[in-house]
Amino acid sequence: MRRKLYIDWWILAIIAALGTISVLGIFSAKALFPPSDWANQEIKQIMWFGVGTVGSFIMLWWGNDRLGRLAWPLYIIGIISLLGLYTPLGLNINNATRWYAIPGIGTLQPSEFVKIFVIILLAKLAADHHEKFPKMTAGNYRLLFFKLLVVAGIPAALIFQQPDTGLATVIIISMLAIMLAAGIPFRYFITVGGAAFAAVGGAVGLFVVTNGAFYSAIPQIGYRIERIVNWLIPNGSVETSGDNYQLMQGMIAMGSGGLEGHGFQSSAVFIPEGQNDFIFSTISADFGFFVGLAIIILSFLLLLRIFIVLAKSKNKFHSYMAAGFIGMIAFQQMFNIGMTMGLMPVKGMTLPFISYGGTSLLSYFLVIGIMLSIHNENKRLENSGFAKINTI
Amino acid sequence: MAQEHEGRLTEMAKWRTSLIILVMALIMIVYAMRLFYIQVIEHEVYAKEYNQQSRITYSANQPRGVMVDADGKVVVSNKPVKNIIYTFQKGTTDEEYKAIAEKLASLIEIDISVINDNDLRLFYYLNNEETVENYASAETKAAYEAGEIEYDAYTQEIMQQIPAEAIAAMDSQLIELEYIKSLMDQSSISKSVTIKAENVSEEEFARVAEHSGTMPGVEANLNWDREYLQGDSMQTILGSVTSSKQGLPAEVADYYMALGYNLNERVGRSGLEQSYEEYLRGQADMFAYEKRDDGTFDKTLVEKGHAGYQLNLTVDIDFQKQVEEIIQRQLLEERNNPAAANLTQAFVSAINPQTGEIIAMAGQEYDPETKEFADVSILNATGNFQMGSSVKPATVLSGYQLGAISPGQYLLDEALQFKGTPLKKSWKVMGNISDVDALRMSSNAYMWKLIIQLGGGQYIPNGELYIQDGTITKLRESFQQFGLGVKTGIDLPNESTGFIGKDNPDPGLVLDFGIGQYDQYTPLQMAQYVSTIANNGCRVQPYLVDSVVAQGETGEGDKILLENNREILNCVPLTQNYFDQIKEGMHQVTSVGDGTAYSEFKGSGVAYESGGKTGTAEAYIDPDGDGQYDKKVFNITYIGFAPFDNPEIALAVVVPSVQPADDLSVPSSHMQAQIAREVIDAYFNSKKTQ
Repeated sequence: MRRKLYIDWWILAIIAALGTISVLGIFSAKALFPPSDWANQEIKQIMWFGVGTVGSFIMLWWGNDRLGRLAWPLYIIGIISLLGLYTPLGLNINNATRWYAIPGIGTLQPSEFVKIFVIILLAKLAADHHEKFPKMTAGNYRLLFFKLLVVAGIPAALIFQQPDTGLATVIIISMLAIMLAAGIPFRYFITVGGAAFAAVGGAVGLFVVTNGAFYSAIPQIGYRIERIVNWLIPNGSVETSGDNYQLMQGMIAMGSGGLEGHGFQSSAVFIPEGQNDFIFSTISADFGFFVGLAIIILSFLLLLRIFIVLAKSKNKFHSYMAAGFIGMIAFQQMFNIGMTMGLMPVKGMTLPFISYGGTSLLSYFLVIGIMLSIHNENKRLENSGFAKINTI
Repeated sequence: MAQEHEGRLTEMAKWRTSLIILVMALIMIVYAMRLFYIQVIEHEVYAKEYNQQSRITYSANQPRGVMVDADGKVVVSNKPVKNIIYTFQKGTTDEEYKAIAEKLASLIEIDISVINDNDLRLFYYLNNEETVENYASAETKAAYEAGEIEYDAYTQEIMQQIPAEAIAAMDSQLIELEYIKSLMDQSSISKSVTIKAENVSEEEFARVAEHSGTMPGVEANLNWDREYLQGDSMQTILGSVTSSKQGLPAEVADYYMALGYNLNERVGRSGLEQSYEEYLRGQADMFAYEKRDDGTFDKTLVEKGHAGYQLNLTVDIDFQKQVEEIIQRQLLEERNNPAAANLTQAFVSAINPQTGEIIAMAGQEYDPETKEFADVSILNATGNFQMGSSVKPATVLSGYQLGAISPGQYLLDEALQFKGTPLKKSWKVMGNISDVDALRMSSNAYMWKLIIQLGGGQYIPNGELYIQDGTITKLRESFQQFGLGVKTGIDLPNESTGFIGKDNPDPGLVLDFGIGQYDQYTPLQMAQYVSTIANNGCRVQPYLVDSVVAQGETGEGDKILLENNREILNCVPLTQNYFDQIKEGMHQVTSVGDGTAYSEFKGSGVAYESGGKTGTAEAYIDPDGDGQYDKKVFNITYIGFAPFDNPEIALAVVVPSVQPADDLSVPSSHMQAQIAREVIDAYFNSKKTQ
């Protein structure tokens, strides 16, 4: 059966712009390292963008109808892949077990995909729940709240254990976004937010008061708290562990770059992870304020475009997925850009569509594929003149 | 209806998600403003920092500070080590990079025998890319062509399939070049790598230095390795530094880099090297390269550095060595006793009680296999031991302070029988004795009765032992005033606070506490404690470094950067007569016939009068290393000070595991008191000869 596909050119244009900046940034950062034969990262990044674009078109062609049915299987595969990291197949790099080694490709980080699968399932559960219990009573919302909490909590806990606090937080934030969209009453957010704030605040307070001694028995929690403390008290009395070095180098590069930037491959200050977590610093340093600003604006336009597609959708499964994606991408943007400018603690967190890295890029293109599909569906219904009843 | 429901839900999703968009819009505006602030408003500030960092492309290390003993004798110094380093320079093109590698390969010799096989295979592969595929087996080729293995895996396979003869036939100059390149590849814009660290000959060094103008980033560099001029003496206290090859330890690299260290810079890892790192570290000379018109480079000094600062130690290294020799001799002698199989270590901590200066801090360990001694002096500050009766002066003083007894009080030393426990007694029954007698003869029963009184109980033969909760806490607080169970404050890292037992243990253990059989302390804590008694109650902070000085430029004097002086940590609020009483007891230990150290100190009175106290503790060790602390042994200890009237030296001697404690009720050895006698004798002798 032939059907017409409506393409969301807006979203593609934004991705193309972000991709261009990304590749130039990675290319530019190479000047800080000696030339070596196998470090053609900019080429790899172009390749991943190409593969991702093709993948997202396949998703568009495939459509979202089947996605709902696959929500549970994908989620379960995701959980299994996370558990599999505890077997000898899991690859430990820098004391974290997050990867599988894939011959010929390099490493694969299953959690990057799990976060998407979780969003799909959460959206599906919320949509089904409203289908099954059309009355929006307090009891129904409570039930929905706990369903979503459990489904998101399991992978979040597994990822937190790896340890990868950043990605675990991303999953929780995505869950909150879906809860928000699905109508969970605001008092839940106030309660959850208050509890989280009190817990983290208390933990930080205890750290400062005991100068870290309290956590010596539980280092797996202690180092996380220490990072928050370092961020809050950069040169305070608590001994700093030097995440500040990375931040300091990034700020020097950025600040000295000024309005015009140092120029392509011209910055002479070394920024650790300058192609990855700190790529925003690298790009702002080399290409100047306006390109940095362009990343901020384009990042926001991406969110806005996803929101516009969401706003036109008449399908709650679609809306909830889009809300989850908005939560996920917004949080990573806010965190990553914020940390490079000293407004957020330094944490391993990539900038969507800008940072170097195949797995995370592919996972975002999965999002783009789904969004293209939703757009296509919206247009089809618009042009057919009536709204379709949700039948997933 | 359903459609309406659906519509209502998607509407809700829409307006609620719009909240996120709104918040993000605000955040992005803030971020844009922040970016503007950093890049435009604060531009000048960062640009200055940038110029500093980007100009400095090479740093020449200055030697670390030396350590000198109380007599001016050099204990730790540096010897120069030549090495060749490379730091990647921004803007180096591929051609220039290759040229540097080639030039370097022609100027220096590389020992290619140490290069591993995998690297050799890689080098071969890189230089024979056209022909190397011929070595691939048919299966490998088929698998690759069928798409079963990826290109990377394919190349890996090929590398492994290169025959050994082909590898062996590789040109050694080519290997050298590839090896140098592989090292250079590990460098980055602010990260230097060492190309050759060992056996750099004078010629190589001169050749590289001469040509460094045409090889940007390559330096013939003088580095410094630590040199310990007094052998093994005090080694673990002096500490260690990382080598230039090790550079910053990975776990603290970020911390030190934030302080401006280079990755390949050495840093103190333990002992004084660690605690005085900020003074010992030299400040490197900073250079910048400038390109001349002819394409070669000019090196200019941007910032002059300085050598590390000198530590003046409180210890006279000759005396320290004498103490070490005394320990070694006594250990060897005692080990002739077949029962002494577990005896391997002994410790002496000696402090000037008036100032807190460390006079000697020695720890020796004998290895029966190699028959050699090793320095374990650091255990004086970090090792916890059961100390036994040496703590009794503190127990009696606590008794005064807490109102359980008063000076001169008599108590009956008898065998104590509590309900349901074995008989508890002193090593002999002493009858009605005073506090002074109790110290001289080392009475257990006197201490126990004192504690029972303190704990609000009463001794009734065959009665239940009762001691109030909180009694041990009061005792511990009192002990802490003397330095037992708290850090002494010495200028060494990782000092131990001792081992502190439970808060409210069985009453029997509270009694054990009073005779040094429950909590454990370090030898240094014992030394601080006895100097507190010698000082009539004022606890001084011990220190190993008297001062830190910067050698002045010619024409200037040395500049004192840090001076440690007497630091009183606290004074015990008891008047002189209480201390006189305790000291009298301790004096009798060494000077009266039935004093427990009389036989060792007999005759010392000609040179000096001294106070002391012996101790014997039962301890459990794990000699076979099975995790079971099942072997019962004796630790023997001694604390003392001299001269009696105006103490100049206060010391603690600890000899762990001197004998097994299964058969004997007291150990036959008294080597701890012998060591103490010899050390004090040696101290006064060395003073006389000066």
